[in-house]
This record gives sequence, structure tokens and C-alpha cells, in this order.
Amino acid sequence: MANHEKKAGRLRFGILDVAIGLAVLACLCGVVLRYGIGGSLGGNDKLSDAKISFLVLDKNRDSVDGLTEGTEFYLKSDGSRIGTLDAGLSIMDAEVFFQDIDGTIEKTQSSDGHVDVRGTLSVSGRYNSGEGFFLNGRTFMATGGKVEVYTETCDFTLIVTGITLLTQ
Amino acid sequence: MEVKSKNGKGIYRFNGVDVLILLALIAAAAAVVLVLGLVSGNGNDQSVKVEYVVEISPVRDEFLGKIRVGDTLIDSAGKYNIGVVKSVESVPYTEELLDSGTGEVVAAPYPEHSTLRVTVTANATKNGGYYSIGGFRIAAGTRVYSRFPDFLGEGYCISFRVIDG
Repeated sequence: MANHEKKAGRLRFGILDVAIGLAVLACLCGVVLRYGIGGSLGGNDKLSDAKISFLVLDKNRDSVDGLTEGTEFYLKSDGSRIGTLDAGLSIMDAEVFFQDIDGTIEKTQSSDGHVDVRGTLSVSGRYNSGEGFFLNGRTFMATGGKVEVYTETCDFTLIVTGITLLTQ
Repeated sequence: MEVKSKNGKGIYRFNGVDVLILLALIAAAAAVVLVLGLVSGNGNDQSVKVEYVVEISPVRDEFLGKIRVGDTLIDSAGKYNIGVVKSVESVPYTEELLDSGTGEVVAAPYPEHSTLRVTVTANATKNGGYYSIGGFRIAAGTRVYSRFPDFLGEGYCISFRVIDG
């Protein structure tokens, strides 16, 4: 009998157990909010295929040699995969703006081997008209946004020039 | 505090670790309240409707048309919802240069770039001598990391006025 009472006392559920339970729940809620798991639990996690067109300004021509169809792009901020480079990369002499003698600004092309690059990435993401496009359901992207990325052979900042949804 | 069982033996003692756990919980709860903006001020808040203009420049001309009337503006740095677009105006982006012929400073148009002026309306609260929209303090001169559904850009609030309240 004494042994039984001792065991019962040991299993008693106290106020601190409640507090610890609440703390654990709060941690779980934090994780759900941080990673947007709530959306996926609600069935909103369906990602669409999309194309992100981009512009990279003023790179050394040799530094973009490694950009070929199928090159994987990653976000520098968290190392997550963005998508793969499509065929049809356009590499042109970099645009240069200079002041003319009469005080106007003119546009011309670089002649010192610097280039601008335009291309398209195949990506996945979630879009709704009120919020915009979230790469992989998490990272907001929109036209005009500057994104630091890397590939196996190159680091650069790309400017998003457009986002096209392929599937809904 | 010690709770004793029938046989007089202590089965529960409130100790330093318990205090730490409770303090951690209180801190976590306070953080949640702050993050979710559940505290609206000290009761002296005055709610008003405001209108302000965010100027974003330079913007490449190929990006024009991405901001629409009715779009929600979010400050992308703090994720504050800071209003709804009322109108969008684009004007040629210029830079001030010295015209060596005349010796005068002139505003020279910058090819293929524009300045966007986005007028936004929002409900703001006035407290402590400043206005804030959903926790985002704003006034003429405030830097706004502007996130619209289809456009991202950095700009400054160039004018701010109360239109109702």
C-alpha cells in the first residue's frame, strides 16, 4: 500500500508540468509560424511551376562562363535551391551611362569586357494576387527585387524582371 | 514553497529552476505580445486616416505598371502592412549634373529609368508625437522597403498628411 501511494505521488501532475507543457506548445507554434507550416497543414502548400526572368548587371565576361542550361541556382541567404537555368541565356555588353559634354546622360555599351546577362529560371512557388509570389512557398519574390544568389561557379546579384506562372 | 504528502514527506518543492522556467515563460509571452502587436499603446492613441507618398527611384522602365491601385503595401523589412495604393505616378528619373557649357547644374534625364510616386492611404495611430501604421512609424523622410504583390523596391516617404481624424 505504501509503495502504491509513493508511486501515485510521483506521477502527480503539477502546475509546473502545465507550464512546461505550455512552453513546449509555444515552441511548436513558433516553428509553425516561422516556417509557414500552417499553410501546408491547411492544404495551401500546392506549389506551381513558374518562370522567373532575371537580369544581372555588369559582370566580368569570364565569370559567367559557367552559366549553362540546367545550372542550379541557390539563395545566398539560406542556401535553399531556387531553380534551374533555362536555355536561351542572353549575354550582352554591359550598359553604361555617362555624362555627355552638353550635360545630358547617354547610354552606351561597355567595351572593357563587362557584360549584362538576361535569362530565365524554372522554379516552383505559390502565388496569390493579394500577396504575390513566394518561391518554394516561403521566399517572397517580385519584379524589381534584388536577390543574392550563387551557382557552383559564380556569385552574383540578380534583379527579378518578371514572374510567369505556368500552372495554377 | 513545499507541498507535503499525508505521511509528511515533501513531494514538491518550488526551487530556483522553477523560477527560471516561469521567468522564461513570462518572457516568451511578452515577446509574443510584442511581435503580434497586441499592445496598442497607453490608451492615449488617436486613430486617424492618413495619406502619404512613397518615392521609389530609379526604377527601370521595363518594371513600370507592376504596382496597381488597390495593392497592399508591406514594409518588407518589418513585414508591416502599411496601407493600400491609391494612385501611382511615374516621371522621368533625373540626376543633377554640371553643364560644363553654361556652368549651371541641370537635372538631366536618365535614359530608360523612372521615378515612381506611389500614393498610399492607411489608418494610423498617433501616440507620443508620431504616427504609426500597424506598428510602423512613418513620417516624411522615413525609408520604406516597399513590397507590393508584384513589385519590390526601396523608397522614401516624401510627403505625409492626415486626411481624416
